[in-house]
Amino acid sequence: MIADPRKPERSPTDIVLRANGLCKRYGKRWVVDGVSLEVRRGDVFGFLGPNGAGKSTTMRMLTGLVRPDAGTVELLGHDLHRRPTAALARVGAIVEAPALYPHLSADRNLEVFSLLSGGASPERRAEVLRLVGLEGRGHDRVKSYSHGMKQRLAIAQALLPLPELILLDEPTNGLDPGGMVEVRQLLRHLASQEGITLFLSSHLLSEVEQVCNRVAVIDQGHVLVQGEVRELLREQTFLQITAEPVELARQILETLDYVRQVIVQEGTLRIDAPLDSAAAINAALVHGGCRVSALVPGRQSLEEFYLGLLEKRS
Amino acid sequence: MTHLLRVEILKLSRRPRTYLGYAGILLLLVPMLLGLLYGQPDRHLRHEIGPEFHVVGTFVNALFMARRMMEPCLWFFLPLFIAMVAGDLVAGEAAEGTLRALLVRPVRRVPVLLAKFTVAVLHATALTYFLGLSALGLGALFFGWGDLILIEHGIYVLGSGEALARLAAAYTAAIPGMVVVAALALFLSVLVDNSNGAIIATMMLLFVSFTLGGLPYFEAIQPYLFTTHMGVWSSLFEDPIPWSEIARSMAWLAAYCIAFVGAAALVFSRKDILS
Repeated sequence: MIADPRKPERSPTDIVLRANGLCKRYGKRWVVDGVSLEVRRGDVFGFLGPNGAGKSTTMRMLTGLVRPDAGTVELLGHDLHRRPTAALARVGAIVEAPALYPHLSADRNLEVFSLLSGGASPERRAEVLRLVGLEGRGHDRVKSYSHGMKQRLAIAQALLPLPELILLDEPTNGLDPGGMVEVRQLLRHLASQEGITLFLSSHLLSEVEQVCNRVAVIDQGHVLVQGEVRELLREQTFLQITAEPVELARQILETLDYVRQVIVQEGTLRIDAPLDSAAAINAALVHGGCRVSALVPGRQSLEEFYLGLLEKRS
Repeated sequence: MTHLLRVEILKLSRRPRTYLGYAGILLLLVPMLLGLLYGQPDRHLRHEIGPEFHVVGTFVNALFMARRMMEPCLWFFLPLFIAMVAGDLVAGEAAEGTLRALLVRPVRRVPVLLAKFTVAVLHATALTYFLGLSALGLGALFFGWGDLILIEHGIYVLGSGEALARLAAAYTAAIPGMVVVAALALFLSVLVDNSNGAIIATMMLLFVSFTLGGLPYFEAIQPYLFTTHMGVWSSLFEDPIPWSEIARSMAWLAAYCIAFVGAAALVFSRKDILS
């Protein structure tokens, strides 16, 4: 394989983003309180949380826009506070809505932003425009762009410094369904084909489930959980049972030691129990006089997992 | 730093607001031109100097017009046009959100601010010279050239060569005062997230300082007001030119400039970007 001569060498670290004990207080209120995150090279990391959970403030601390009251941020092995230029040299970021100069053309916008990262050739600017599907529109003023086009142009400017890590705040916010699909496809392409680590802040659970391999959930300034999406959801398994009569089945299930919770939902029973206890549960129900017509292992969606997590907390 | 400067020049040169000042100056020249053409200025000036002086010819020429434009423009209009640009440099970007896009790049904040201040200085300088050159140009077109007769602390008649040199020196000496206005507007621009707030606050502080400078009860503080020293350019039309006084005023203006830019840098380097 021939190395791309334009591409600077990757930083040797495998942890591309590390936040340690981040805290931020506005007035008397701690908006972020002890947030620690770890994003590994190659991750598409979802940062989830309801509105007002502290996502944006954390995002701003991760990009140096807001100074934490406590804690540290390391980007690509460099301390953001002590060595901000080194830390941000190979990082692209979009914080909140795409912010561009409306009176400049797309290409001029890219020129402005590239100059801040050491410059980019007109070929590179054309390349990133092509990558985000804006080829041929580089000379149009940004004020004539739709929201989706602005979002794609903002991603293009984040791609200029050949980044190893891109941080995106609500990347599909305000887009129509078509625009959302386009941006998601672009993100998948960036992660799988360009090898860029992505950190996405979002409150769209389906989006995160579709795109991300790891997540962290934040609420009221605290990280509630962090890990591989697959692992987190694997832990959240259940058995769905269709049995008659339902009330008798519920009573029998509640007597079993290994059944932690029984919920009756629209005539079916959903139970929290080890999956390998399915045979024993079936036997107990049949022995107790129930007719079991279905016993299906299930897995929570990210949405159910997330809502359950927030419910537990509240 | 050169990259940052290029970025700021590129942005400023493409912003319509930058050119409002130039358009404003051209608009201001029109009433002055009409006044000099149809307002019988010679009659008023002859009346002003008294009957013991006999003036042959006319007072009004290009040099006279360039001199006459200085008062209203350097005390009010240019500070306003300069505040409109400098006050927008940080607050305008904060309001548009581009400040956060700028600061997530590998740049240090103080050089970013210094680049912004540099373009504000360039803008103030260009605008001041544009005023002088456009007044001279239009004046030459309508009234021609000649000696400059000044009725300031006495009556002086300057030959056209010397008058031109003094005008050039006076316009140049006006720049530091304009730069202080730009520095003040930039400082206020760092404090707020709305450029209108920064512009209005700059003009208000300017008026307050002018007012304090004009009232006899505040004589004790008048030497320390920056507006007291902004008018240093007028000393260049005195005879002999009070160089030590000019140097002292320049030092005061430099000190104000350093104070405003230093304070702006301090605040900007620690500011949480929340817009």
